[in-house]
Amino acid sequence: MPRSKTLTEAASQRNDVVARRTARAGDGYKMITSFDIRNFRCFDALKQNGFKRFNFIVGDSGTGKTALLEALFLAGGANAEIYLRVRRLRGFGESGGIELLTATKAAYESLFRDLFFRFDQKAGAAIKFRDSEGRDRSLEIYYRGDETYKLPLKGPLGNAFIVDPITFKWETPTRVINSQIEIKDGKFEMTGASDVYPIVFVTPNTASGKLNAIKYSELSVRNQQKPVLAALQRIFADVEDLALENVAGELILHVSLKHLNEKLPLADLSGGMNKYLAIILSILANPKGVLLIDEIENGFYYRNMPVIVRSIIDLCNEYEVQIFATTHSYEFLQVLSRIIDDATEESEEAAKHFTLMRLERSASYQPTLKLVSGETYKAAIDQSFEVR
Amino acid sequence: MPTIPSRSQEITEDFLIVGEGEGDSAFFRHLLANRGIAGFQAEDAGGSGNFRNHLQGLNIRSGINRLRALIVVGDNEETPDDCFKRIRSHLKKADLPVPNNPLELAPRTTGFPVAVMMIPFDKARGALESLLLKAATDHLVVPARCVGNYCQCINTSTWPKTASDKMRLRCMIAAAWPEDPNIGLQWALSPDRKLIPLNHPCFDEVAQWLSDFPSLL
Repeated sequence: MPRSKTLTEAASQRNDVVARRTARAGDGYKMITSFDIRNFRCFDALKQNGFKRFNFIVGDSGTGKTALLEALFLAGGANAEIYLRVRRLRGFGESGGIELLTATKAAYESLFRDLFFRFDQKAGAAIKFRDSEGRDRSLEIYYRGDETYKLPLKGPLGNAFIVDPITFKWETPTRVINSQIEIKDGKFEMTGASDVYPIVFVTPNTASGKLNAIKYSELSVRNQQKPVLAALQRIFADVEDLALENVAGELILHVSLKHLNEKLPLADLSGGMNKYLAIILSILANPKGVLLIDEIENGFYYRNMPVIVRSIIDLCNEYEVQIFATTHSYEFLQVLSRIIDDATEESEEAAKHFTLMRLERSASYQPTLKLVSGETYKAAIDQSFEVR
Repeated sequence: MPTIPSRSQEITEDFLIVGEGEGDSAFFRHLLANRGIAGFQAEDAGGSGNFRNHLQGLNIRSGINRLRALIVVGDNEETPDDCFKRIRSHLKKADLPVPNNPLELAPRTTGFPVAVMMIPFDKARGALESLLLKAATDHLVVPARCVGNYCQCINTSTWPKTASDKMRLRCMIAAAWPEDPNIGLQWALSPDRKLIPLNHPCFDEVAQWLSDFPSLL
């Protein structure tokens, strides 16, 4: 494996970023500061405020870490199609599980039943968040009840059923939009479109070489791709260039290495690079936005973790991107603790940009959320507490 | 770099006792077992200087939601009031409830209430070793007599009580455990070694307070 950058070089780069960040001090930094989730997935009611630039979520499996990210992602969406994307991210197939649909009311509703707390579809789900500019954005998901239509006669039973189409209602400071998922001519159709909140969701399923190539191309067309190479060079100093190359009709990201005459597919450099690049590309493509990352540590070699995490944090600072990320990794939490330490040395203010949230199940099996400051989080890691 | 939490694990009991060092946590674990008092988990902060970090970090610890109350245990040493004030200061900095007096419960509207127990007990000068010394002296009769003579010989009457008690207990344990005269207090407290009987009446006050503690809530 090519050598990593020296500590001096890495420190120098960090200082540059800190200098740029300091120069921006005083600029408004838009971010989600609170949310209120009701009757969504495993959450009966979950409210929290006090979010900062970097928010990390821990907790046992099944406590709702991914569901929390999904709630924010859905609320930031613009059209009911986003729900099918969430299903894809959950692993329900390329089309979000639609191929399984048969023409029955139960089959239609089965697509959405797990959206609702204890599968109670009657109550409807509601997600609301507020950003640092004081703007509220909300999403209600419900069956209207006043609008029904017949499913087409294409199911195996050959029956027609009256269904009540599910509605995704987004409310922003400027408009209200109702988007419905209907079935017409045997296909799903999504009506309506709202203005989108700049949220990107990176999961282990989205970190593919193909998607990265597309995102890189979009940046490259705008001549904004240079930071991608710089981010890669922080981990692999031998990388000289990054380019899209045609392989059997498909564009694939390749790297030029000092010690190789030919270019190497990026994924061959390191398995975790697709994930890293997916995060970097999402930050660059979504300045002043929100980045949701499920299982942030997934795929990263522990020795590269400090440089990778610092690189992500630095880029988020530079591009004013807020992060909500889940993790199960104690190594990641330790790295983060050291980063908070360093940030505190730079300025006490910098350490205040971090929070750690812990999701736990209460005695009644309801997820509860506890948010603590970066300082408290660091104290817990210093004491070797089990916080995952 | 440790890759897993090395010392303090998930909170699994209703009540958590946090002492200063390993001797404190071992004492409470063995005392609770000896007296059949359930529902408590005992651990140490890794030294009195670590109290603040330990207490602050509790807020995000795995299992914290099930905690019904926290008991912080400190040594009175030579200045009980000052030592209690120090613990109050640690609690305040950790954003935890701060009781006005030892053995009182400081309630909080969210999270868990907190009490502080000062050792030997109440406002008596000394440390955990002072409390243990009473039981060890009654149990280890011969070493106790010899150590008493030794103390006269080296004139420990001018020593601070806490230091004198620690020296006497260390000497008695060393005399009674030749396999490892330097055995740590946390190991010396193990019932298997039969060095310090935890059913001694000198521990009754502490045990009774812990036994009654749930009724304070």
